[in-house]
Amino acid sequence: MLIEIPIYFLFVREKIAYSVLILILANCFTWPILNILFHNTHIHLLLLETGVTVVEACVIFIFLQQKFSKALLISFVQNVVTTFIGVWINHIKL
Amino acid sequence: MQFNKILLLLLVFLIGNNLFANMPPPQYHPVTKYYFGNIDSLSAYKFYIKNSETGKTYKIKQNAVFEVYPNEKDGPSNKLEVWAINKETKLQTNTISLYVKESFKPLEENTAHYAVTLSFDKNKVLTSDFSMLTPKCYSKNDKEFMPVISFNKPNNNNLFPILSFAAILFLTILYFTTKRQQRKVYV
Repeated sequence: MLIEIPIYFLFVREKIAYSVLILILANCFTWPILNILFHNTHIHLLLLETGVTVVEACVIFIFLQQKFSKALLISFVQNVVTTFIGVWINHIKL
Repeated sequence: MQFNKILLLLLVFLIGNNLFANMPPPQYHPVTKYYFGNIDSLSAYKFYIKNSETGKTYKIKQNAVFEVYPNEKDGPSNKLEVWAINKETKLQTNTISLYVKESFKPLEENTAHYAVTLSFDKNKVLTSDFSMLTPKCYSKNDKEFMPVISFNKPNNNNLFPILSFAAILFLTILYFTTKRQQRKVYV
């Protein structure tokens, strides 16, 4: 979350407080689900992250009123960065 | 008469003894924690571990700790599979399986703690030695052996669905509130 929020502001710099709130809520929704599925199922991490990317893009599109293509790009960059940091920290083999 | 009594008692004793001898002792299946303490000493290899329960593979670092949970359902036992890859030749070694260690007495917090010492024999076959750790070795007060990072299932899993549900609920409320406000502006 600490990484994803600054990444968002690289693309959009308006309604800062509202955007932070929405991004926190989006993360609070997706992160627990990702964690549960990662630890309890055999679904590949990259597939789970793809799902998270799409959901977060939808949240950015609906609540932060960005074009869907731009929302998808922002979400993609956010999740690529955080996924690889997570993989590196936890020594997860992809 | 006296002799018969002694014989009878002896017989009862023998039968009783045999019955107890054939009774399996209670077995406990504690969560088993494996500590890897000598990874850095085998620097020519990269070590990997796969959790059969989740299917996830991790790279093993010095002092890493991994857990095996007892099976909740029937089926193949949960295990951790450990193997190494030679950094130069890129050849993969044999795989060692680590299972839940059965115990004949209940353990503290139903967890067995084992140190794993990995080594290679003359034929470069990966082998392992286990030694059970005493509470002194793994207690939080003793920082010498306590691994910094552990790759376990989070214990606060119960909070995850609540957090997720609360977030989606809040987002839904926010969505309808902003929609209503927009409608009022247009009216």
